[in-house]
Amino acid sequence: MDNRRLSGFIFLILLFIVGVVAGYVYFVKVFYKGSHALKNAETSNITEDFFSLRIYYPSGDGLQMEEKRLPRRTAQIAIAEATVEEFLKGPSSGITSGISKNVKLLGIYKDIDGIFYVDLSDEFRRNFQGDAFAEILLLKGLYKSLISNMDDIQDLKVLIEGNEIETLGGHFYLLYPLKDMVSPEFY
Amino acid sequence: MSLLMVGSLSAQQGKEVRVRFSKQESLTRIVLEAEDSLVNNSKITSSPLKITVSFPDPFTVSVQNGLPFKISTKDKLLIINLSEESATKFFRLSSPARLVFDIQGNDTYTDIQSVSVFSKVFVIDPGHGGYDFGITSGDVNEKDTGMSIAKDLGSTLSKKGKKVFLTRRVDQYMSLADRIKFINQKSPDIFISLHSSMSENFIVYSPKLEEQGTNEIADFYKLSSKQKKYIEKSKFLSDSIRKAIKDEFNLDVVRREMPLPILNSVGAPSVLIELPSPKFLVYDQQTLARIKNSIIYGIALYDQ
Repeated sequence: MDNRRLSGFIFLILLFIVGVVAGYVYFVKVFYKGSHALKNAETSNITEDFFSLRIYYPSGDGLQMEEKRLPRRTAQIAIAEATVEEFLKGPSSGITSGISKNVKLLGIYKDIDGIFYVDLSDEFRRNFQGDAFAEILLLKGLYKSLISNMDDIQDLKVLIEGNEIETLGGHFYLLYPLKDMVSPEFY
Repeated sequence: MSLLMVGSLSAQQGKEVRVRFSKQESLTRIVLEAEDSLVNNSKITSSPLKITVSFPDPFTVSVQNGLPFKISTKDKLLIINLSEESATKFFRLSSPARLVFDIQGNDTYTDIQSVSVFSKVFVIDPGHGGYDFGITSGDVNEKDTGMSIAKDLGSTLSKKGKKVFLTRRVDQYMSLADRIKFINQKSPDIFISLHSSMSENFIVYSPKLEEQGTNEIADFYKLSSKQKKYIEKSKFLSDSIRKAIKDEFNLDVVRREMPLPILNSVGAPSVLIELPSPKFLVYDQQTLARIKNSIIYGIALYDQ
């Protein structure tokens, strides 16, 4: 009788152990799937939180486009700021861009006509080293970078330290919005 | 060699500068020989008509007879007055310590004086100026190179009896608007703006007018264009100068049309010339003279 009770007891213990192991394996699988799904969801969210900017840098006799991925911005002014900042950083490809060094973006404003005012530090003018063609390519690159990444921009005007200045490098006017100067296929 | 004493500032100190020369065809070589300290610490400045040597100490001078140039002394200066505009190359040599000047004969300058130019009034615009250095490379600034050629070009045209105005005669900043106003006030027959390029090439720009403007800014560019009447002449002037530079330097000269305000707003045949970067061309007296001459030849070609 004792033996039968002992066997039954052992059987119950084994049943309990099998149940625990099975339960462990089951829950680990479920948890793993769940956490994996969560991870995927997080990765997916991260992907969705980035966006691409197309930046046009002066290069040789024309402009060269580079795509830059940045954390997503939704406000138009924030996109414009990111565009100008990426432009001022220069190309990652190592090409000589002729973009003035150490320029800071001081602000971007938009008027009711859709003209964006890009206010840059004086280094943009002071550190510019270029001929007439380099000057127009620099302005064209800045203009094209902005209009390529924004929908509601009508034109672009550059200010230096909050002021209108006559010229960037002594060849072209900077007193007026850029579209009509840089748009035609002069170059 | 017979020597003639022409100056004595401090004979007792015994520092002597011996001047001798030699001639070969159109080249005259002048040699100033002196002790090391005098030669090595001297400073030389030259222009097409004069070479000035500034020595650190007083000196006496002995000159070889027959020297084709006048030599004068003043304080610690020795001045060689060239009889005509000349291109000079300079070397500082040792053992024995000496300064050597190779003065190129003035055949080319005689030629340039005989070139016929019919246009009468010129405005020459040395680009940039003052705090605006333009393109800089080492010690060479765009504003200075342009000024040097502008003055030389102006001087040569003046000798031909032409009226010449420079937008700036000194190292000062001048806005585009002020330059344009000045140029149009003078009603020139030819307007030339001098700049530098970033490249190894000469680049010759003529104005470009855009007819498709629809808003006020485009209209500004269009209406500000006093160039409309002269656009074809400007193209021809640019082509002529391009050809002359190409012939002189045996280089490709880039030709571009561009709506540069300084060209578009001028009521005259206009051209903007960009000189090669100093990284690619040495701007010594001879090169500057060649550039000036080629512009004169280009103007003559246009005038025909």
